[in-house]
Amino acid sequence: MYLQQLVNGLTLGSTYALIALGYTMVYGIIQLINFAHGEVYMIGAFVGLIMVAVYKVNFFLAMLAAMAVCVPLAVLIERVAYRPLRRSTRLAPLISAIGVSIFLQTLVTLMEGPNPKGFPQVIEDTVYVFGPVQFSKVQVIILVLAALLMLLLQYTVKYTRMGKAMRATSEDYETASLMGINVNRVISFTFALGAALAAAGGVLVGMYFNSIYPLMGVTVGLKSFCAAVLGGIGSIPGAVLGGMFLGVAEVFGVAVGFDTYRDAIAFGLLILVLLFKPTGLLGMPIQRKV
Amino acid sequence: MEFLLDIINNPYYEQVLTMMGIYLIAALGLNLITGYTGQFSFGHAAFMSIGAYSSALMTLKMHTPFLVNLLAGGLIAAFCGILLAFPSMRLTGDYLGITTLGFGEIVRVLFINMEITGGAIGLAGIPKETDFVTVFVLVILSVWGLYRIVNSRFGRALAAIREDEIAAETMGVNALMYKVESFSIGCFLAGISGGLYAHSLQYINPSDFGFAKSFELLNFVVIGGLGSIPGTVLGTAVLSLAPEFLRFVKEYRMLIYGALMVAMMVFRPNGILGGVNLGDLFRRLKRRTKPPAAASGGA
Amino acid sequence: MPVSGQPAKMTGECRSMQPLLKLEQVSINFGGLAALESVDIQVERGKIFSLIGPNGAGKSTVFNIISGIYRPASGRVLFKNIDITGRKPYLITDLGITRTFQNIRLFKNLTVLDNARIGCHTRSRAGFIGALGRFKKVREEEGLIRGRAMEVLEVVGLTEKSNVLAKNLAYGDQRKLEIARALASSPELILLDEPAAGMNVLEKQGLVDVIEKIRGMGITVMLVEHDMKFVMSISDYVAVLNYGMLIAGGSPDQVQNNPAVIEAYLGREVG
Repeated sequence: MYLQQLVNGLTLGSTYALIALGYTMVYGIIQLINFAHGEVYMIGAFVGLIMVAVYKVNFFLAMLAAMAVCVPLAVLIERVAYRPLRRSTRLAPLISAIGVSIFLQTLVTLMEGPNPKGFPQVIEDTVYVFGPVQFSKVQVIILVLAALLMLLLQYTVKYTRMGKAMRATSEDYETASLMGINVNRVISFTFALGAALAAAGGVLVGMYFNSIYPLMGVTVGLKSFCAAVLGGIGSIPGAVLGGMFLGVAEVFGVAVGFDTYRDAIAFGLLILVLLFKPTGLLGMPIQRKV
Repeated sequence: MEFLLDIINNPYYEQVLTMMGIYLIAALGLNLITGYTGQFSFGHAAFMSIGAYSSALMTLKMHTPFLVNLLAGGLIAAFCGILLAFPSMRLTGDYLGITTLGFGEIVRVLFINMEITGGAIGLAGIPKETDFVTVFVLVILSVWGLYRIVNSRFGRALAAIREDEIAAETMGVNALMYKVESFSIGCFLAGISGGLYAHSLQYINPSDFGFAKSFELLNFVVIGGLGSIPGTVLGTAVLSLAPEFLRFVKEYRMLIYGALMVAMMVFRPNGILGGVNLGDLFRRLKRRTKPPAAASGGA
Repeated sequence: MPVSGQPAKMTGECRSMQPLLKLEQVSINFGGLAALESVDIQVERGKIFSLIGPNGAGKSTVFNIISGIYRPASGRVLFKNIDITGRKPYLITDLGITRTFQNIRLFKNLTVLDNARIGCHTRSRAGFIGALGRFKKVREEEGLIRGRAMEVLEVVGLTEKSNVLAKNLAYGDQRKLEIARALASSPELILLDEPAAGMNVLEKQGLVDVIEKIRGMGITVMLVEHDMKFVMSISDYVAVLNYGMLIAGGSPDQVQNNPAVIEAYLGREVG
């Protein structure tokens, strides 16, 4: 029973983690809460739906298509709504991000209607039983794919040239640009990476919960951001840990009867963690600079 | 003057203006927190909801006079603000923002789950007590109060914290205390605004006060110009009337609204009236109205 | 002449009075690196005390500990015989210590006058209620604050620029405004962190005059400075920090001729 809940929690958590990674990477580099990230995820889910329902492609192709749409979209958002505001007050890009959110939500509502849509069953209902625990095929796909994507991300950030440039930029923006790193390209690349993960997350969630709608990015986006802060914003392992933690906490919270408080669990946890460890579970302590 | 009377006599315009005034009171409170003290608050609507529910419940269950309930709603919101601010004002910037956002969502979920607040259905049948004149008077009072706060020792301490918290502390400012005070005054205004809201629409429900509303209030303040009282007035007026003016574009309304937010920030990142001070405006006006001879004689 | 009831504690340099400020065995480390090791400092009332040393020696860290921004890992800080170790910065300012910053930290978007007025914060009381009510007492206090602010601007020569935004001041003027803002709190001890940095010769001479004026007001001055000519010409006592340890102390003449100091500044000489 508990093990089963743990599996369900980890499945949910890995979707949060996929989205949280986008928040954490962008924040790590330009200290911006990219509130439009939840909408990128939502659009990923819709593109996946259209590919599967209208073009009848298989699930993996649908996911690739979702990435192919979301990556340029995120790069464009950064270019239009954030880049001109890089040197202004902290709140300006935030407001701009909310503007982008509203714009994209309305756009999708106009195109697809406000009501939730089901995802056609693309993965058969096979259930694997391991002792006391059951995995549905969808769960296996989500867990395996999320893990693969995260490993791929880890590899990119650790070992590729671009990844090294990303780490340098998030360490010290000014110095990185003085050292000849093309900071604008690094930032675009970061948005692209985050969007690819969010698009995958969107398609996976659509498949898992079988319901997608234009405002789906709002709550999930906020919760994933919570997950990122919970784990320590700017930290990639932190985002994964935070996402998993949040997913498991939510599933167990609902299991013990807090289902009507479901959306408050994430925020309650977040506030508790922040009060005791102000930079999150894996965040670096901040030294007051004088 | 006659034009104004016409507007007030038209019930539709009256309602639009009343709502604008109600939001303006909350936005002024947020401007004190964010614009003057420099502290992020992404959960301001939650304090509106606390004021709205407390005052409405007092009206419905205790039948105490409206103004008493309104004041009580503001005070309860301020008290909740203090409770939140004491632990969380140690956090800075985005961390504080996200904590207040989380608090806002928790308050909303609590109201959905409480019986006395009518759960997700909300509270209906609140008597209509808010009228345009009350709102107008309260707006004037808020502007006056804020103007006095900003131009005082208290207000200078808040500005010092916004500019450089460490320097402010070494100048003897107890930053935590001032931040908590500023936050609770802002929450008080939000509570008053919520009470007016409840007694104007006569029906409230938790989803009225989600984080979307919090960000709407933040928009008013930022687009008007952080730390500027006329800016907040202008920002609230423009943005709360914009949807009305954009009615002709029908379903594209919110699309344009979102795009406008981006455009406003890109072209005026400090807001329409960023950094404009009411005192300076007065002084400039005074100088202009004074005869030139007197002005040069005074110098 | 010892006037206090307590017997004066005799130290190496026999003084008749309790020192105004005393650091006892103060140590602090950042991320495992020792930034200060068992530092002992005594500052006499009414004197100009300079702290010198190569870059990274821990001079500013001493100031950050005295003003309460950092808490030392061990050791005590005594001011007027009160233990202020780890006290909050605003409480320390209240007691009579104030400071300037090496990397100017003015309230940039406020006017020169407002910067100075915020300096008066600890010596005034009106709060939120007073702000709304503007009672007679509050108005009188505002008058006093304004007067005091104009007074300290006069000391540093910024009276003319009182309505300019701090960020629009020239660099040297910004340093002067930091001093004025610190003076506004009517301190007994003022910590000046590299006040002459970035100033030209003329401005430096002006600064010497300002510091002399401050001493003339009976305020004790503690100084961190790189410009040796400046330090030696103005100080009563010079202490030398190197790698977080005090290596010498004494009058400017004594310090200038101390071999350990010369070595610290010029590096180890061969032979």
